[in-house]
Amino acid sequence: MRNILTIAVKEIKQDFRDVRTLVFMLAFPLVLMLILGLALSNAFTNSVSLGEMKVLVKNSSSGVLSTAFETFTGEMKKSGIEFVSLKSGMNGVEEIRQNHYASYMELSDSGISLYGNNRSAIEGNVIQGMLQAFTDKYNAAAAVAKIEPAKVSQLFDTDSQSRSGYIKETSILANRQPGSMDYYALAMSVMVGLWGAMSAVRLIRSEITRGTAPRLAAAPVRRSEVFAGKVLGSIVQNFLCVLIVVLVSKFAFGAYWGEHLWLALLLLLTEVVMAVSLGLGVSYLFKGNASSGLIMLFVQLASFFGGAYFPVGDASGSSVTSYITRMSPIYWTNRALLEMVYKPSVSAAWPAISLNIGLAVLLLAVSAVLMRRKEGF
Amino acid sequence: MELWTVGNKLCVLFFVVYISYFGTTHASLWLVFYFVLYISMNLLLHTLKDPRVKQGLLVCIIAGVLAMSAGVDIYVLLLLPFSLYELASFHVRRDLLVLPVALLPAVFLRDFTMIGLYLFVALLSCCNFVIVRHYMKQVIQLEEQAEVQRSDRQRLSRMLSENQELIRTSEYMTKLEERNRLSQTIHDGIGHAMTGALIQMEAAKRLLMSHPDKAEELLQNAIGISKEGIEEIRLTLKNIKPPIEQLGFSRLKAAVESFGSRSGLQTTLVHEGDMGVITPLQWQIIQANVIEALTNTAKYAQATAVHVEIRVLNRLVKAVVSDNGQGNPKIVKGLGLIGMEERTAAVQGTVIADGTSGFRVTTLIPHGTV
Amino acid sequence: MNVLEIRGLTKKFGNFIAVDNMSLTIGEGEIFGFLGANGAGKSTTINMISSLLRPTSGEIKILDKDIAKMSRFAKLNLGIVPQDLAIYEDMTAYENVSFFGGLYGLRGAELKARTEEALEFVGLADKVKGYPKNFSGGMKRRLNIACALAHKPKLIIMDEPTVGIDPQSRNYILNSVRKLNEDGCTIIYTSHYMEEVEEICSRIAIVDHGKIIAEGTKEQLTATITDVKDIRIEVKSLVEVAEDQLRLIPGVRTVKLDDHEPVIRIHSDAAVDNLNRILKQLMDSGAEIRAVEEQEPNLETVFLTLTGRNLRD
Repeated sequence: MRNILTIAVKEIKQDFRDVRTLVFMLAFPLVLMLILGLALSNAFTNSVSLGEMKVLVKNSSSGVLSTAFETFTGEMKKSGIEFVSLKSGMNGVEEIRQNHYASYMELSDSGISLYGNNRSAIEGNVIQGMLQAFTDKYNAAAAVAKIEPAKVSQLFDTDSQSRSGYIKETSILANRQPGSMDYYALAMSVMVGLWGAMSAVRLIRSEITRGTAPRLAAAPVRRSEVFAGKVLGSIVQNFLCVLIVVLVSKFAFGAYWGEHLWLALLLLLTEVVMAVSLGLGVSYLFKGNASSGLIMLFVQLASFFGGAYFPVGDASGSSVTSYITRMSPIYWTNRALLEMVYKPSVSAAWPAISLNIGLAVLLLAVSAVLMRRKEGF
Repeated sequence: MELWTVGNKLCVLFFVVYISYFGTTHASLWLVFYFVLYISMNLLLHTLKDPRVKQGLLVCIIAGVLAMSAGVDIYVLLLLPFSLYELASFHVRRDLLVLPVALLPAVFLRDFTMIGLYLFVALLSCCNFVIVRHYMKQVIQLEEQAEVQRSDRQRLSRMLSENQELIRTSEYMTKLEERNRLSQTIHDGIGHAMTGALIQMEAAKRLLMSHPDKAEELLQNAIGISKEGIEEIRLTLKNIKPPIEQLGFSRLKAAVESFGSRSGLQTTLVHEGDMGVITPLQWQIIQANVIEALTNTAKYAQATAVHVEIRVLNRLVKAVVSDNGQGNPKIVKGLGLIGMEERTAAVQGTVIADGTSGFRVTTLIPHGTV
Repeated sequence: MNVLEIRGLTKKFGNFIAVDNMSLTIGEGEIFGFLGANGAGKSTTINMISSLLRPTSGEIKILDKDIAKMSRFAKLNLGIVPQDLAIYEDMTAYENVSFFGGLYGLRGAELKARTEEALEFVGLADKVKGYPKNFSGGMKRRLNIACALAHKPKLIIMDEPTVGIDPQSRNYILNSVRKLNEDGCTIIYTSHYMEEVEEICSRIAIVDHGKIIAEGTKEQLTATITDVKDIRIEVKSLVEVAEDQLRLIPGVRTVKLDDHEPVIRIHSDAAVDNLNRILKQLMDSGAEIRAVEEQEPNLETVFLTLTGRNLRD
């Protein structure tokens, strides 16, 4: 047992003395986080600010419709949509073509005709929605009027308490959404976690290339102890790197990590364990430099497809790309983190955790079996 | 192997019977008939020896299974994997290749449970099948090895007793020959001398009174002859070295020359040092090793010349056979080389086989100093 | 009790037999040399003793503990100095020795003391905080040795410890080997440098093609091929040389005076140390000695005679 610790401590010492790799592992993700987080902030905002919207109206309605419309426009003004009457000499369509107004409508007793332009598409949609609400309500009122004229007033009750109103504010998504810095803090931490595989590939082989394998073989330690110590050391070292990235992102860059940071760290820990096991397993399955190359390729592809560099959303489709995306450890860990922080849902973390642990156990077992078959290390 | 499949098949058969009997509303008579048929065909399969008949039988069994499962009761299909494996074992080298074939019927199944059951049976039995075959192969290999070792051991003990026999014989022969030579020399030389001296002395005795000076002359002769006789005895006793040291070497020389003429290879033989220290047993070993090495050279080396040298060093005898062929940097030890090592080890010697530049077989045998 | 016992040790790599049924006993206090050309099987044997490779068959016992069955106990008494440097370049000299020492059960103050002792022994006491990547070749080799010493093993195996280093470091290492031996350590020393093996080994095994073809002290080994040594003495003039007197000196077998040059050639028993007396005898009879050459077969000659090949090919 003590031997395992001795070896683990040695492993950690050696890793932290490898300044170049360490700097790379910490600097690259942090720098990338900064750059992408700041530069792509626009891509992440879900709120679109609409300024004042102006609608040009040609009103040829009469009677109840006209009254209702006036009430309607009055309320609209409070919400920032101004209905301006068409003055003689103005060509409505020309006006919106020149983008003086967001939309142009012609109101008559038979109905509403609405014209919009492409440049104010969002505004146009909003206006259309509003008008649709108006129309519906008016039609309903008209129908009621035919049968029970007395009850019409109820529909147009402007009492603020029972107001159903034309505008009801509801959020489609009740939750908080990640900003770009928040997203990349998560994504980069996950990526650094997977990078553990790259150092793990050389874990055992390094003893052979350094020539120290014979000394370890001659010492009264079991191979399993050396194996365990090195794995432990690698996990600790890689996790420390991840921890540093997480903490810097949280306290220096102000990224949001949710209410349960401990759970996020646990998830990242399982990812590191899985990554180390992956590297180890591949090093036993493939000989020589092929295994390093393979892991490098895998990590890069997984990062790319898994959402480390840009968000990939939900890949539950059946296309080839979504299939590839789902294979990426970065994808499922990232996804779990996002759900955990932003839904927020604590249970979202557990499937990813078990998947990581399950894979780790499998890969470690494979490595252990292959190691026993070999001579030496 | 057979026993295991029988056990497995029985288990699945019981299951199928159970399911079809208790699962359906009424037991089909055809099914009962089929089961009996299935059992008897499999029994036949296990008793027969001829592989072709076995294979034919297996095809029938498989056809029966397919027919019954399609026509009467789908559960009968569970009996398919075993027969498929058995059939495949006649043809396939890599055991695992059988698996996809066995899994294939699952594609045609519709019922979820059925697919699961079938896959389960197929996979489990494939596992056992592969593993059992693997161990059987190992067992057979080990048995073969044991057999080889047994015959080797017999051969070697035979060789050993032959060697011992040879030692006794050659020791005896040496003694006989020595005695022979001794008696010959004594008879030829000393015998005549003593007889001559005796005659002279008898004559001298007769003439002692009448012709004293003549008698003196005769006595002087007798003394002279006796002195010579004694000198010869002394020399004879001193030169006990028989030419037998040449015996071992000349036999070797003859063997090497005959090899040369038979094989067409140019042979050279060199000796250095006192051949006399080599005992007959050691000669026998050297001879055997040299012949073996020469034969190997003729067979494998693709050489044109082979050189034999026997050197007596201070504590070792060194016998080397080297050729100018292509050699082989990594020599695989064949039975010939092993034989050389073993017979040399009997006299605490060792054999070095080197193939870096042509073949070179060195035999080193320790000898006691003179 | 023998420090090392090997019986019937064989190692096959596929069809290639690297070590062929080797048997050997090494007693306490010996410095045992393995001499042989490259590829003879020395390193493979060493690797099997240090458990890096598993023997195909045969058994190895260290202090009567079978390394296959009681490997932990057997290894506690073993230290190895491998041919390729087995040190961590990114840890200090102290950390290297301390780490490996820790694997042998040393802890705390004891570990510290033994680590310092080991480093001092090899002459790196002033470089404890240095990193091997800044060391010279000789210093690295010395550290390589130090890493084997902390746990004070009874048996140390050194595999070509002086390859490629300067003569000063080499001498230092050879002296260290002697000193270790004096302190009670048994040493196995493999090399293809015959001079070193001749110099420090008490017993030597000549290895070729995975077998021990000859074994014994240096004298015993040279005696296998010949018990005669050649002495060649150049004098000013042969007139003063008393041949008969020379022949009387114990050990002298033949004396030959050269026909053309003023050279005396003497064949003498290799085992008898009589050079002094021969020279004294010549000087007493008034001869003026110009040059003396004593040729005894060395191990390289022994190897060549036995195998027909050079040690260094």
